[in-house]
Amino acid sequence: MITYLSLQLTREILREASRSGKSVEQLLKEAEEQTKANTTAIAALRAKLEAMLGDD
Amino acid sequence: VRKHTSRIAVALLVAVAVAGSACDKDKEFAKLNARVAGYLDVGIQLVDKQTTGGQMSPATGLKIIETLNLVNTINGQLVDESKRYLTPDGKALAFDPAGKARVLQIVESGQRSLTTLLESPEFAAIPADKRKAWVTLLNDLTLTFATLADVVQTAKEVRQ
Repeated sequence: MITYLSLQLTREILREASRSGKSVEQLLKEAEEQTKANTTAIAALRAKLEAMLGDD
Repeated sequence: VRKHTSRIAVALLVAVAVAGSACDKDKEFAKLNARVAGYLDVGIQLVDKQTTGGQMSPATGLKIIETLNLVNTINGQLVDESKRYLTPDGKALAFDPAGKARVLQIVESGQRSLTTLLESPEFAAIPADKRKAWVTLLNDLTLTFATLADVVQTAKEVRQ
């Protein structure tokens, strides 16, 4: 089942990848930027959750 | 002459198809990295929403955030490692056997982190109706990592 879903995802991504005129370098850069944004969001949420725990 | 010309044309068509497919595979790899990052963004927002709404305890939220942080770090490593194999024109990836093995190791560590979270008591403690969204998200992430592994395993190796 996982292999079938994996194949489906591969096909979907291949279609997506072909449609986007972006280069591999640009796509990796986008992934890198989202990863950096996630790091910032995680730090902020962790601080918020720790404060909530402190209030309990 | 005509026979030679048609052979050359067929060879050229095959070469273009192979090169195009390799390039699409590399794009797929990079797209999958971006997809993991996108799913993690959704996960971060979901923790925020459920803890703020009182549907998830802050302790469980912290446990999930630690895993999302780990997977985000792993995805960052994956991007950094892949960038080392970018061709000078930025259009393809040229993994050597050692690089391929390193990337696969990173992918596997991502898969292990997700399995650990799925099997943790904190995850089991999330109310069933709220856990459904998490199961879907974590399954999508697991599937994306599995596809990443498939793409790397089938990537053409470059001897260096």
